[in-house]
Amino acid sequence: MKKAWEFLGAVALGLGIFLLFVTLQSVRSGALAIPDQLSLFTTIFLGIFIEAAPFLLLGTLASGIVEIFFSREKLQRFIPRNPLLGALAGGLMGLFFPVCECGVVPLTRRLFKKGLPPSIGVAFLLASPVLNPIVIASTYAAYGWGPMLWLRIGLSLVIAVTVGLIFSIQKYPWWLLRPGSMSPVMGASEDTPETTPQLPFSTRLRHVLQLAADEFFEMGRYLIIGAMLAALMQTFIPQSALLALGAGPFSSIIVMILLAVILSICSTVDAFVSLAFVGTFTSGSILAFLVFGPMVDIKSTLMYLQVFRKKTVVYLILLPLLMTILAGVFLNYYTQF
Amino acid sequence: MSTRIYRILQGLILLGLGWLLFQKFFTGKLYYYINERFFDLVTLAAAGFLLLGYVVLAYRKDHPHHHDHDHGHEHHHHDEGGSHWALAIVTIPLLLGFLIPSKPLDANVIQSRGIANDALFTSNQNKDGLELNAPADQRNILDWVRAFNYSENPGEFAGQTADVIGFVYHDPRLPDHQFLVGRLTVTCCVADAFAIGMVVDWPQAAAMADNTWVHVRGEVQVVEVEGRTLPLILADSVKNTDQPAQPYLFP
Repeated sequence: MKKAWEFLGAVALGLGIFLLFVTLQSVRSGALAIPDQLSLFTTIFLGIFIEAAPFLLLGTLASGIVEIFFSREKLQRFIPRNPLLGALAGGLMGLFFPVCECGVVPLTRRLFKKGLPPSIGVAFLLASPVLNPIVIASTYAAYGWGPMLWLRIGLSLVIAVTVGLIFSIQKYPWWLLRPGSMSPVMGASEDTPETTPQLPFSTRLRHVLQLAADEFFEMGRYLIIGAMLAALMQTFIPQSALLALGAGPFSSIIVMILLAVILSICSTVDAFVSLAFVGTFTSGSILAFLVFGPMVDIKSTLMYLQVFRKKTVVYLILLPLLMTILAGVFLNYYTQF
Repeated sequence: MSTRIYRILQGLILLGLGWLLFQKFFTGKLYYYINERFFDLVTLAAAGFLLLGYVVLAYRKDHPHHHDHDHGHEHHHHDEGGSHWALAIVTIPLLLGFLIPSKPLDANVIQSRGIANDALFTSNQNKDGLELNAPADQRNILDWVRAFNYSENPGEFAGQTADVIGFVYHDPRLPDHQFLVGRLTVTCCVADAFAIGMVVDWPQAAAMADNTWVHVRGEVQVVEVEGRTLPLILADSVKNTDQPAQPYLFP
C-alpha cells in the first residue's frame, strides 16, 4: 500500500517537473514571455545564492572536519569553566575559524553536538561573522584604521559576550537547543569515528565530505528560502521607500537595521556595501548595519531555527537588536566619528 | 523514499549545482550575478559541489552515521521527513538557474533604488586615485564619478574627453535636452546593485528610449548643482550599442 502511494507520488512529481519544463521551454523559445518581475526575482535570488553558497560549503566542510577529527574529550579539555571566560573565548573563536554568517551556523551546531556549552556557542555564533580575519580585513579596506573598524569589532564582541553570559545563567542551558542539535547525553561514543581509529585517513576524509553534503542540504534549504524571501522583498518593496523613512539620529538606525536584514549580504563584504550610505546616514546607523547585519538577517534567522528552539531564536534576535539600537543612538547623540 | 534513492538524488543535485556554477562561469553569465572578485571562490565551490556529488554517488552504500541516530526513532523520522523537503528546496536554484534565461538587472531598478551621481561607496584604498591616472577617454562612468568625488580640484577635468558606455535614464529632474548615462555598480552580488550616472547634454535626448545601451562621446564640463561639483558630458555623438558582456561596474 505504502509502496503504491510512493509510486503515485513519484509519478505525480515527474509529471509536475515535466510540465514545468515544457512551460519554461516555451518561455525560452519566446512563445511565452517571462514577466519582468520573475526575471528580476530570479537574478537577485541567484545572486544571493551564488555569493553565499561557497561560504556555506566552507562552513559545512569545517563542520564535517570537526565531526570526524575532533573528539568530545579533546573539545572538553579546552572549554573554560568560568562563564565570562567561556563567553569571551566563544566570541574570539572566530579568529581561528574564519567563517561568515552562513558557514558559522552548521559549524556551531556541530560543536553543540560535540558538547560545547550553548552559552559559548551563542557567543561564537554572534561574534565570529565579524571577528574573523577576512571580515576584519574587508572592513579595514573599506574604512581604514578608523573608529568604524574598532567600534564594529568592539561592539560585536560586547554584544556576543553579553548574550552568551545571559544564556549561561540558564539553569538548564541545553534547553536552548532543538533536540537535533544537542550533545548525546550518554553512550554517545559507541559509533563515533574516534572510537574506530583503525579507519584509514582517506576514509575519514571521505566521511568529512559525505557529512558536509548532508549538512549542505540541511542548512542550504534555509539559505535558499532566506535568499528567496530577500529577493521577493527586493523585487516588490522599493528601497527608496525604506530610505525615505528617515535619516534622523534614531530613525536612521532603524532604517539601516531593516536594510541589513533585507539585503542579507555576507559579512565578508557588507563593509563595502555600507559605504554607499556614509554621508547620507548617521555614523551610528552605519555601525548598526555593520554590527547587526552579520548577527541577524533573513537567511541566518531561518538557519538558527534549525539549531535552537523558537524561544531562543527570539532572544537571539531581540537582545542584539536592543543593544545595537542603544549603542547606535548613544553614539549618534554623544559623539562625532 | 528509500535511502538509496535519496542518496542518488542528493548526489545528482550536487552535481547539478556544480554544473550550474561552471556553466554560468564559462558562458560569462556569472557577471550578471556577482562581483568578479568572487569568481575564484565560485569556481572553487563548483568543483567542490562536483566532488561532493561524486563522493555521495560513488559511496552511497557506505555513508557515515550521523549522531542524530542516537536520539531514538522519533527524531530519526522527523529528520528523514525534513530531508525530503531539503531535496526539493535545494532543487529550486537548479530549476531557476537552468530554465529561466539569465538576464542582468537594468535601468528599471532605478525606480526602486534611485540613482546617484556621487560615489561615496568606494573603498578608502582606491582613493589614491589609481583610475585617475588612466587616460580620460578610457575612464568608465564609475571612474568619472569617483574622480569628481575625490579630486581636490574637479575643475581640472573640464575640457577632457569622456568616452563611456551606459544605459539611458531620463531623470525627471532633468530638462528635455539632457539624460543620464548610467551603470549599475555591484559590490558583492546584485542584491546590493546601485545605479550611478553622468548627465549628458544631447539635443535629441528626449527621443532616446530609457534602458537602451548607448556609447556617449563628448567634452566634459564641470557644473555646480546644489552646491556639489558634478560632471556633465556635452555629447558629440550618442550611438546605440549592445549591452556589454559585463553589464555592471565593480567598485
